[in-house]
Amino acid sequence: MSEYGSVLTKKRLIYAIIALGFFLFLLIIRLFIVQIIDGRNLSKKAVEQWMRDIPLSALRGTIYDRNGVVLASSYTTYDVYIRPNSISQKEKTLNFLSEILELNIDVLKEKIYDTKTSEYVIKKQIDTEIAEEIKNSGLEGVYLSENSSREYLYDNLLCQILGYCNSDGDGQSGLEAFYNKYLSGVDGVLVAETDNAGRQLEGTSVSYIPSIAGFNLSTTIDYNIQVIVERVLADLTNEQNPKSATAIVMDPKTGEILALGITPSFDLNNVPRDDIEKLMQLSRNSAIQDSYEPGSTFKIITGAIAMQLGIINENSYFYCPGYRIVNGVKINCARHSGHGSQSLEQGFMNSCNCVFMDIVLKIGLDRFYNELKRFSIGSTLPIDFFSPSSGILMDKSLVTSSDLARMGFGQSIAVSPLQLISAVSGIVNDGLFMRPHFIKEITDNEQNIVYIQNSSVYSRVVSVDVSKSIKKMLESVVAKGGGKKAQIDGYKIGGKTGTAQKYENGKIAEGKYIASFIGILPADNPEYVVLVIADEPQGSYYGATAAAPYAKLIMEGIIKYMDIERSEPLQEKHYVDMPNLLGMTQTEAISLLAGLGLYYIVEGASGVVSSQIPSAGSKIEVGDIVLVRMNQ
Amino acid sequence: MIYSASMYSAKLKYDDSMFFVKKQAIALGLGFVALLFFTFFNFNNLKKFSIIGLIFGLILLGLVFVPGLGVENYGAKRWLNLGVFSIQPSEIAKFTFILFAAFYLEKNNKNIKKWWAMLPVLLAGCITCLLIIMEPNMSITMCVGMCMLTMLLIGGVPLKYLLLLIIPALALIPILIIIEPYRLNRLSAFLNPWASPQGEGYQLIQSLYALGSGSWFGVGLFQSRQKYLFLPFAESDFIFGVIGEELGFVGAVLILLVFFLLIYRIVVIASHSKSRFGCYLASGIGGLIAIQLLLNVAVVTGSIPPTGLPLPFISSGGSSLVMFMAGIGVCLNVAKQSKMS
Repeated sequence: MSEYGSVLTKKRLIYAIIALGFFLFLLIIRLFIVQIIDGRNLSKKAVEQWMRDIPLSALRGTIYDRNGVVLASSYTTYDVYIRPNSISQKEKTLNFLSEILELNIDVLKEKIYDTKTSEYVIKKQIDTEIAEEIKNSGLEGVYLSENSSREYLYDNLLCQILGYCNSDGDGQSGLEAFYNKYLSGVDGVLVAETDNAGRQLEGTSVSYIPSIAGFNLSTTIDYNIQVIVERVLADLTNEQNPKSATAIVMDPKTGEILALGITPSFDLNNVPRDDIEKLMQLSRNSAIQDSYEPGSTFKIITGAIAMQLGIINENSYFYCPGYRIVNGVKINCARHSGHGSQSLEQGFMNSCNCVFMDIVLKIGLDRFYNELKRFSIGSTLPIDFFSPSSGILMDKSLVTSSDLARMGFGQSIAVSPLQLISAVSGIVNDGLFMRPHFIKEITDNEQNIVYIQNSSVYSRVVSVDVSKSIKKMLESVVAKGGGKKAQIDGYKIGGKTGTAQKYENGKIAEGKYIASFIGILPADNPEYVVLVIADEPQGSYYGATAAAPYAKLIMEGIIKYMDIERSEPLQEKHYVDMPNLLGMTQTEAISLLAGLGLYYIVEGASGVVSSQIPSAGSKIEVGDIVLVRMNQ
Repeated sequence: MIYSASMYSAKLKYDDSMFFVKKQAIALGLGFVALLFFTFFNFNNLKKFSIIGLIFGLILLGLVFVPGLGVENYGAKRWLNLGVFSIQPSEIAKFTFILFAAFYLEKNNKNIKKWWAMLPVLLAGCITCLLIIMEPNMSITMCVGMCMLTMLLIGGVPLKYLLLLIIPALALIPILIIIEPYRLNRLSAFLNPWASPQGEGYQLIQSLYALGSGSWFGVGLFQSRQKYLFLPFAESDFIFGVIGEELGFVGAVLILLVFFLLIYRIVVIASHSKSRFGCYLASGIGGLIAIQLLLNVAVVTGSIPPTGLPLPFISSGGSSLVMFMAGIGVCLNVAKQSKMS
């Protein structure tokens, strides 16, 4: 062996062993990273794959109305799972399952003898009886998962309030979504330790972790009033053909929402899931989540603010020439020929725009916006429902005095129907604005109360005195003003009509109106406030004709259902023959009608009468409203 | 260890939890016989067999492609069916190649500085590699290739020639990947195994799960959960994963240290050998153990792209065990000879 070669070889051997040591050191570092640093993370994931679990969905809580009527409930259905590799008695299992589940024996046989697939679901949604039999059979490798199936007992009723659930049983809209956390409960699980093929390991047992049922909701909804509301809305839809119609009934003393109906509706038990856009539209609670220009019903708020600020009182007088020119813009009153001299009460009765333009201009922009805050207009209403609309208030810096003037009678401003009814409820409830809500209490599955929602005051909006004056004037509106069609004989009813022009792309949408009426029962000590809104009614578009009669029907329904006693003597009814007005001038027609004790709405500015409702010769009750249309 | 790693899968597959253990016990017995035989067989006599051995190894490799004799498994023809048992010719060819290289390098030591001197070794290595890659078996090919480089290095071939060899070898990698696109999948699975946890990345992820579950001290002997069919080849190529899971980081590092000591001992034997042939032979055997150890552990820990290579002495696999034990026997004889003289 040559010396050179030997030395070189030895040197290279040393390099080689150093290289080996170096690489081993790197691998040990790598081992340390995998085993120690990432170890916890990796082993957590590993544990997940060692366990096979079968879901036991918790039974979703029941939703009740205020009197315990079940609105939505859940029942358990079972899915049957098999793990072929864990089935020891294949033949027996095959015969038993195919018979009890009415499954094709050949198809099932293939699955039971298939050792390559770890798990099959062989039948879904079986009922409790069959599930019990399978449980009692004690067969290995057969498991039952528990699912909660939702049932809405009245299909379309309250669909936008209750909301629907997705296929996983999670609430997607309405109260189902808002209270999902409470309703859903805690899912249980059936866990087995298995090998990678789903075979249960020897010496291990299947552990059963039961689910905990969800909590139950007791809502403020009164099922019977809701039925009344939905029936009346159906009538309204049939007779007036609006794009949509909304009605809300609220208890002003508590802020509880007793009923809320919106048409069109959908069947909660048969949700149109294929058409997402349509479903989104139908399930949207526009009464809470959308806003509209309310029109004259908003005058209650304008008037209340001004009285509270001491700017006007019951003895204030105004003058209406049929229009006002504000900041160079001519803004018309409903009656183009003018109402003449008007007291505040007359302003309400005749729904005179000039009166409320004067009032709001006297209040001024700053004070007006400040006061609106008390009504939660322009800010989010605190309610137990997702994404309530805050309404639309123009940016203060952009408001001209003509905009402000329009706001006085409820245009150039938008509120949600819920905001409006809550604000009016606050004014008539001795000035106490109650926080609106849907839930009275939440109970667990043993009927223990877990949560009580007490009624709470959101803000004081006006004084008791102002409240009293407003109530009196609203009573006059129904007794002898534009709200005549909501009058119920023997009862004190308050109210206000609204006929708002719709705007599209910043311009008046010709011929498109929102007719509404807000009613108060009884007017002197309100227990129910009813709001009815018809969006684009196809016939007569006035709040007085397209909304007020339906609010009356709802209030009559409530009186009957709640057995409210009459407070006033019944009026003797007087009828007159409807005269023929065709061809008369406006002044002639009005003086003739006033002489007969009839109220009137005039459409058009000048010329002669081209049509009238009702037609000449028909019987009409003294005090009823006549619609007169001029030809220009 | 094999028992623990394989008892569950063997029970399912062969209804005998000891299936792999029995096979391995037979191989161990044969291995001991081989070890004793070579311990007392003067390694210098092996020179006579070096050329015949090389040819014999190549023939065995070629026989794999003969229908009826070659056994196809997982899409590769790697086994030779000899009736009672089957053997893996590539395990034998590795050693016959080392024997030839040691023989040749000693004989041509004087000319070693000339570039043509290494050609016969290269030729023998390349033919061996070619036959193995045709099976195909990429990992053992790499192993033989690296072993060849080690032998040339120890044999004293100038470093510049070795570097010239490595460059074309690296250029081969993209070509091999183009020939078998599954290798590209494996490569991408290595770079991000979590992208396909049920596909290409599965094995690596399962191996990491096993190691990660072991933490410091392991879950205890026989307590592996990953061996319940989660970790494929738990008893062979991925046995180090089960070791890591059952014995933990500490156990795994201890095993690596034992290997290091073993290889260190072989290197000491090699450097003390009075015979150049003995030195090269022992270095080759030690190098082979080292290369296979590094590659295997690197694969199991996800440090290099997955490739199937048994862990010397520990993985299930009879041919491998018998040959490695024989190799140890040769090394012991080399040690004995240098003491005697």
